[in-house]
Amino acid sequence: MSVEQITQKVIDILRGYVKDTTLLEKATPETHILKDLKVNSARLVDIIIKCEDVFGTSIDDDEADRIATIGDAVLLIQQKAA
Amino acid sequence: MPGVGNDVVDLKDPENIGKSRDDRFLGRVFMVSERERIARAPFPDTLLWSLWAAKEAAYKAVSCADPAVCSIPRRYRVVLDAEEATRRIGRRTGRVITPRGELFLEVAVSEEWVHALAAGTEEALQRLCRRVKRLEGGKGAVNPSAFVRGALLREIARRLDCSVGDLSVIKKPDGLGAPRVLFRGELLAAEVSLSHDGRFAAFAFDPITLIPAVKAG
Repeated sequence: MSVEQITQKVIDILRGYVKDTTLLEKATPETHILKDLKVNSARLVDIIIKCEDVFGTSIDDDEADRIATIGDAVLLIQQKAA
Repeated sequence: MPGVGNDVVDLKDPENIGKSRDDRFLGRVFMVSERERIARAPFPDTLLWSLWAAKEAAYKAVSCADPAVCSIPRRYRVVLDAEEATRRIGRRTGRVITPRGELFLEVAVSEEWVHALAAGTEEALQRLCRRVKRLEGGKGAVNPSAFVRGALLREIARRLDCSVGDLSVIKKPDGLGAPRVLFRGELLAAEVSLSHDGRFAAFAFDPITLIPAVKAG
């Protein structure tokens, strides 16, 4: 799966948790999930669980702790798929 | 030295209701002993969000001094008074064992919200000015971040006997660390904690730190 495909899937996942989905229109790899997309910490846990399901992988605590931006999530998933 | 942390959870928010039945969420967030307490609790959602808010408040408090500290919820162990934890409404005390040491904890529970406070000492915890406010106009009608900043500044203005216009909330450009307050352009020593969820917003700060940061050293 290409970086673009992973990124699009991550954004599709985020769409289910971001209250103002217009914030996703300008999303970049640097977009901070909590601060820029106004997702709260509990929902970030749900997003990580959803990523595990969609990408068929497992994300441990330390890996999850490193996810702050969309790019962080994409990079992690890309690395785990390699 | 840890700062101040607070966290509010709207118990009636649709996304929060029934979360105690979400085994994967529970597994990611709570230790086995915490999950067992939630499973046995007469009001499992209330206990779940009390423990969650406690972990969040503790993380905010320790990340004031160390923004790089891990935020993994399972590494923040919450110890609530066992008897108190079985009640639905009321004020509970306890501790949170964090990756940076132990913090003192207070959790207030109403029918509609849970509010947790964490601080480095029992004295600091007791001194904290804490408020939970219902968002005016309801959820979605106002920007909750702006609302809670405004409520905080009104409280500080009242205490300093100044105009709200004399005050502003600042954050570091990277967004890490606790928000700080400027009084007529001068940084105050106070580290403040802001939170919002659903229909509620909350803040906390230590009133004795409403002095210029340079004087506080």
